[in-house]
Amino acid sequence: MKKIVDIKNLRKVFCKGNICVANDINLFINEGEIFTILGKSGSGKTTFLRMIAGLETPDKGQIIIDEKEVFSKDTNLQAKDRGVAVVFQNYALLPHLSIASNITFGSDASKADLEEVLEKTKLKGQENKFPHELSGGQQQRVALARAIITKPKILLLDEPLSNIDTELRAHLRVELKEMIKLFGITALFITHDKEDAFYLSDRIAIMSGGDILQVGTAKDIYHHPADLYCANFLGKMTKISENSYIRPEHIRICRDGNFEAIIKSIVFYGSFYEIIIKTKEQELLVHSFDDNLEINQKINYSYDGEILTF
Amino acid sequence: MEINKFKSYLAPFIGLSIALPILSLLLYFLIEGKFDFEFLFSEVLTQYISSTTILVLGTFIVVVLLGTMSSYLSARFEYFGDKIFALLFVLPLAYPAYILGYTYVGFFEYRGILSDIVGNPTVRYDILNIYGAIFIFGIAMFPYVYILARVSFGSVSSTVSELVSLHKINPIKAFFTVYLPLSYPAIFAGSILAIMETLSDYGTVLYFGVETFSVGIFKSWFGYGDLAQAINVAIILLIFVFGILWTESLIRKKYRFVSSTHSGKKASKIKLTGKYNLLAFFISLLIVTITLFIPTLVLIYWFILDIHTLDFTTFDYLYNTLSLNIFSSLVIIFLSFFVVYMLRFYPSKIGNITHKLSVLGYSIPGAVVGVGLLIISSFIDTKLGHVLFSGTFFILIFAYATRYFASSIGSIENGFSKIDTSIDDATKIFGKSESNNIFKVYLPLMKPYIISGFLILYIDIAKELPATLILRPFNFDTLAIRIYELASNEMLYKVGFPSLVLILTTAIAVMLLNSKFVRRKV
Repeated sequence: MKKIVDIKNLRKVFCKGNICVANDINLFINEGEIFTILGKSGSGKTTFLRMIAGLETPDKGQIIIDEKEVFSKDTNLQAKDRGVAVVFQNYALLPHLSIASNITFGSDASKADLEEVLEKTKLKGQENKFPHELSGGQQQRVALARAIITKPKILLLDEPLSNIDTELRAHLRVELKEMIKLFGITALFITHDKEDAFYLSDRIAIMSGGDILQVGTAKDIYHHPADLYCANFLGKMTKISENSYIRPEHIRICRDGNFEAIIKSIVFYGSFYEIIIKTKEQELLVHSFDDNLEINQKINYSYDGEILTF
Repeated sequence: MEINKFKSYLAPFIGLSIALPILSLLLYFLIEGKFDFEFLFSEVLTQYISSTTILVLGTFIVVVLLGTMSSYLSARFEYFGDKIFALLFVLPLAYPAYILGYTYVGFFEYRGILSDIVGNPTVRYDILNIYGAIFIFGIAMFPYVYILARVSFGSVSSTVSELVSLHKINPIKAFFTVYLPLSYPAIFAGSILAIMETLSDYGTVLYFGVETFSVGIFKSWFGYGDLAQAINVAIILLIFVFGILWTESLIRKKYRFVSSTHSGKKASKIKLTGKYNLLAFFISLLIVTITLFIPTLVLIYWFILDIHTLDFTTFDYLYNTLSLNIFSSLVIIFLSFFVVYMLRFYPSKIGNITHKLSVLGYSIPGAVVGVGLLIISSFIDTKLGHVLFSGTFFILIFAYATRYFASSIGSIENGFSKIDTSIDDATKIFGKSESNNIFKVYLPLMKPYIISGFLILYIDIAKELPATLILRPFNFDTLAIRIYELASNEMLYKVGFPSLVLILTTAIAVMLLNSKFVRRKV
């Protein structure tokens, strides 16, 4: 498969505070793939995106986009010459320009291109309005349309779903994936939210302290995390022995379970219960759908999934 | 990359150039000038220091009193005529202090307007002294406190006012223990602006016979032709100014907590009824009568007295004033835009330093800037062997730029601070070219801030006297100069017509600045 983005030994240290935000990163993104960098705030993921976009200069390394070197020791192409487009966190729409002018801002797109993009992004009829007259979802589509109309080699999305309330966020997530797939674009998505990452991505890289800790599909990294940090970041766990951990959904409360315990607490989360059970040695976190459990009830349980060992 | 490096030097170059008159003064003092220690202990200097100190302290008290009263009424209460008063409280900004001074002297003098009103020609009050000057500066400068404190009083969070009513704190106690302390920074910032303007004044203090530093500089340079002495006075004045700014920074640090009480939903205005409504109305009426109505009526009275012998060359002076002001303001506002844009996109350490130097001018009196530019222009002209800069419009506009760069750049920086940095990133990625980005994105987005900066510059330059007096080209007089000359020749009633014309132009600018279009955006 063709590599659209190929990054080699990319390094960046911020002089202020001597913080390393990219520590010799090696990474590639395949054509047509939605690739996500998942990390907590301060992990270096936004700086990574900005370095690819040409908005931040790396200290060393090489960035190749569609077989063209855009950054190396001797090259540093300007942002507008790299063949990238960005959908920003707050969309960065120009408030004084109409939707049509926002979409075609700086591009040489023809009227037919504009019509096509408006059609596909469901913005037809909105082209003469101004950004403040549109809903959050529509604004996101305008930002996407502005990026797509330039026919970028890679679309960079900088946390476009953060700062949006939960209900709308789920809707926009679906819409975003549909659009990206519809246009058949390669995309790099930056987020701190694992649900967004799991839903949108073909592959995910977990980033922390400027390091890429693990790269893989959502299932891979959830079930086979590279280390304790990745495992904890992707979901809750309980330690069951010196180096072994288990996720709460992999403990099953059942009559024929191998071990005995007492229920210490129950919290109702709507679609499941989060339960703490107490054995002689330890406390374990369990996710259950059983409506008939009570505090101080004696139960049996068994392990029903992979035990993670580090 | 090389072109970017070149661009990163443009803002420092302009910043340094703007600060050049002040720097040249210091350089001249360090290289050529000898500090006259005899002068340091002389009676003359003691006189300058004591007069300036009393004037500054007195003005501070008057502007704080008038500014706080007017802004608190305007921001916190609804009462009869409140919206009109809100505008009238700002309008004294359109009046140069020296014109207010002339009107009050005319009002109180022997056989003046007051004696006409009471029908007794012997009734007079001598206000041509330091206390009269304090009164004049107080009424001329209080709008600076009013404008800033009005915003501060008006943006106190609703939770604070709810807390006050829940604890049943009486209104007077609430004012002194809650609202007033919360607005100290705004009141203080406004009074510092008023003090800087007072220190910079020349026309009023000269007329009122108050021996301040500004008068000292003029006397030394024009009276005795002693440049070294003028520079000595200017240097001591600079130390005086930096002392005030240092005190201000200490006080500002102390009141950093305030921003946390000015967020969220704003407290709504209290509707006054009955005797409180009347009281608020009469306090407001008293303030605008003293600060606005009396001076305006005096000018109109003089205009009527002079109506058959009106000097229509006033319109020539108006033309000079308008063309000089509009051109200077445009040059300075676009220089400010260029500097802020360059510092935003091509930042450098040297740029930050020169930026700080370039805004020093707001605290440096016009007379000092004038002397600084005289040194530069005479140095260059002497080296060239012929007159190139001295007495040119270039030097005069240079002086305005040095003096008022801070206020125009403040407006532009305020505008740029409201443009999210992601817009910058978007223009870098999607924009066709830098010039296209400037014309299609930044200039349109900055329009209200450019207009407000332009208006502020227009008002300041129209009222400016000392630098214009020193540096204006030969045979070129503005309205401000004409008015000053008429008053100097004791032709007070002749001052009415040109003053009204000048004030009409500045009042339009003040009203535009105060209009919803500019205020809402800025």
